[in-house]
Amino acid sequence: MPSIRRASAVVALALTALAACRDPHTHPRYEGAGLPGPRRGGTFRFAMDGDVGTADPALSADTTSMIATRMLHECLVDYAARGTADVVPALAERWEVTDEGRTYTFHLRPSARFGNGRAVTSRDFVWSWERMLNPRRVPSPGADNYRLIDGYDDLREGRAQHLRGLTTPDDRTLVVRLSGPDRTFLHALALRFAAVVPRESVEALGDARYGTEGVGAGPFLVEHWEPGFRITFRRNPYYWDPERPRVDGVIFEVSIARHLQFMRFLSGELELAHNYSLSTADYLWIGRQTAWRPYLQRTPMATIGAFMMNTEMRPFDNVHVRRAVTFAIDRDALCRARNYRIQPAWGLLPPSIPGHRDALPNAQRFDPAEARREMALAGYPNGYPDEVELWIGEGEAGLVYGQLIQADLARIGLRVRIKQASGAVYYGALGRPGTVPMGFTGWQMDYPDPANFIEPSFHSRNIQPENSANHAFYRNAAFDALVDRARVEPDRARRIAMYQEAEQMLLRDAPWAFVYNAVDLSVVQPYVKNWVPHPVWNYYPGDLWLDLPTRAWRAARRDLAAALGPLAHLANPGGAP
Amino acid sequence: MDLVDPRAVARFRRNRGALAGLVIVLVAVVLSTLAPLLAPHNPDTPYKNRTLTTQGVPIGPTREFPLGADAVGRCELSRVLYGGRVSLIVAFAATGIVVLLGTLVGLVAGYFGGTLDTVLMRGVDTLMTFPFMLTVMALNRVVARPGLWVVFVVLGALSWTSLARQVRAKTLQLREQEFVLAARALGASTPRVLLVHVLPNLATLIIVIATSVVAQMILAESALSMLGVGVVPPTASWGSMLQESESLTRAVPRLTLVPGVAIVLTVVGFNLLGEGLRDAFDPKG
Repeated sequence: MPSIRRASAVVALALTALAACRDPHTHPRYEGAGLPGPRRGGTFRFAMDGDVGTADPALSADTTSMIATRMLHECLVDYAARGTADVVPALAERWEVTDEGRTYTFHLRPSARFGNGRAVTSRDFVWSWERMLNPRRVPSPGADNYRLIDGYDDLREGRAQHLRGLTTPDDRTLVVRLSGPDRTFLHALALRFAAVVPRESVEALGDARYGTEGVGAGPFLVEHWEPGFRITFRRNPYYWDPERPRVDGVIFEVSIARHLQFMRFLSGELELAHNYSLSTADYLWIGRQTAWRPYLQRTPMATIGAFMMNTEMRPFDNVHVRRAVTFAIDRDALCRARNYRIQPAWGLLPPSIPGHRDALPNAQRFDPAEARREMALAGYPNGYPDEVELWIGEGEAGLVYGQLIQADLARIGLRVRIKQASGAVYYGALGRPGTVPMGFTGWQMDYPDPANFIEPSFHSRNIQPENSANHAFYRNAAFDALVDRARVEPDRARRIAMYQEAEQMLLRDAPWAFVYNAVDLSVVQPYVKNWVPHPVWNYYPGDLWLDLPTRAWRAARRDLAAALGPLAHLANPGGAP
Repeated sequence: MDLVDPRAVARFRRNRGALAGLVIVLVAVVLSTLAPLLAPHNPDTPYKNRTLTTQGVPIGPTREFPLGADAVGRCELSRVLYGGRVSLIVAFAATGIVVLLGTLVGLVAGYFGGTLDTVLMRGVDTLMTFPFMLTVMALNRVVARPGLWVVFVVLGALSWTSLARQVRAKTLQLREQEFVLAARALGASTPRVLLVHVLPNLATLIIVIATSVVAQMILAESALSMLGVGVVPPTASWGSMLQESESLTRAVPRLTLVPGVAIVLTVVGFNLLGEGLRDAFDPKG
């Protein structure tokens, strides 16, 4: 008898322990009420592991800061949410391009207002741009995007107080004169560097405090900024677009560790768990939860990941060695080892960027036999005699790519030694001549135009003694000339064709082995509707709306079970919550 | 004189913990030494589609890969065997440095005493204030070709201080004993007294301490590799295996358990052996 009693006690205990161990978040806690159309209202909460240093549009440049900056500030034009690479009207309702692409005339909306209620005038743009471009006011990292505005050099070098190329015939008309035609100028104007800021707010707060306390003309206003903790935004009642934003407020938590973001998402405290918060284990786990799977979204992003080869350093000064490397890398294995959270790339221009071709002629490919043939052409039929350094950044992904490529290259007789370096050291070294023979690099676009992928990384203008953006130190006069011509080509189709021709030169000369395109994997709560990561602004919540969150019945029943404790199992012996 | 006291051997053989420690240590040493014969695969080769599922998850144990694959698709069993070699080589090499430096300094300081003793022991005190983790990490950034040798040289060079102190204390005792006085009275040279009369009496102390130092060094090497200092990829060590498994721990706990269990077992083995030796040689202590 006592043994039976003891056995049943053990079983009861084990059941309780099992119930306690079961993962509590296999189902969303809240569901949508099923409202038919976009609802206004609600608060959208999300988090990043980085911090927002400043939301001053002239200064903000990193991914985390740019999300906040986009929420607060508005430009003449903006990038379309998805599907097209064109710019769309924002504070300017229309514009004309005349004088063979040298003069842009913008007409402001009558409804354009700052968050303090004052109307935005064309003089506000002149004042804002002169502030951003004057190195004695704010050291803007984006100034170079506007170097073609007439009078740029004089303002930069202190010879003039004003930008000659800007004129304001009236309060709602802004005329921009360029020193030469530039087909990417509208894209540059959609960058937040060119946002309009109210002079009275900047002057009252000073440049430093304006970055965290000031108002802009964007869809949101800062309600409360707690540095290193969270920023609370509320809707800007004066925003020009009556339809958007649809949420009343946004809580943007910063400096939250990735896994913590995911845990808080699961317990219903955040509306979004995004690409930066889903670790490999979290991603695999949530992919197995049938209740969550419909809310997991896979969005290809216009980001290229690649391995660059320094064309000035041995053995990569030999084009055949570089071509051999492009044939040696098994890109599918790389993507598989990253759970296909990336997809293989065979050329420079990612899908969604004008000029991308699915059937790319002369695309890079995985072909070990061809790789060995190129090594023989290079004069190393039995392999390259010395060990070559392969630089990767710190972090798990770099180490996985690095070791897979190390094994791939060993097979064609190129022995590489992996060198890991932290972010600042890594980028410093990549931009210094004669330092990194081969390294992991890539490009996350500033704006959706092929020029943005081709010029910074491959034009010889971007080779400098320090901080070269051209990490491969690739020099090709014919390439430079073609790209320079493309920038001013008025005919869109011909312009795109020129960039495709430039891409062909890169495939032939192989300064980079193109490896993958990034994919954004985000999961949202079931009541978040119309959520798509923005191609430029990432997790900017401008278009989404929130259905009424309703407590999911499973969650309610589980909470009841938790409240009853072990007793719940008497009523519900199966233990299913 | 007899180096190994038969009574000590008997005490050791009666101590089950000590025997278990000895067996674990022997197994670890044999497995690591024979890794090239025992490992079913090259530890650095990724087997890609054979070892990663279409989701990119490393496969579990199969006949071909008895402990499954790691995140890069390499054979986990082969890596843990080869990793053991690295961990043990570093531990033994560092311990060798510890024994050499610790004995030399302790012996000289304890036997000669006086100013020499004061200078040496204050040097030891100074060295004890160096945080070895930070020192190794800093050095690894500075040297041109970092690697394993930095780890064991620095581990050894910073860890001999406690052995030196114990050797000095024991030498202070020994130098006052009759047989040492007798040797000196008979005109034996100082090196002869030190090497023939004092050192053999320190041997058991040194062996006992060295055994537990090996355990500490295995842990230190793992901790350093875990922090990304030490072995250069793709070389496996138990610490680097732990590091690479980190992001997958919750999805594939096996990848953390395999090197983790190897470290725990080996360290426990060396500690049991060390304690058993101490109990056997010095039952009063």
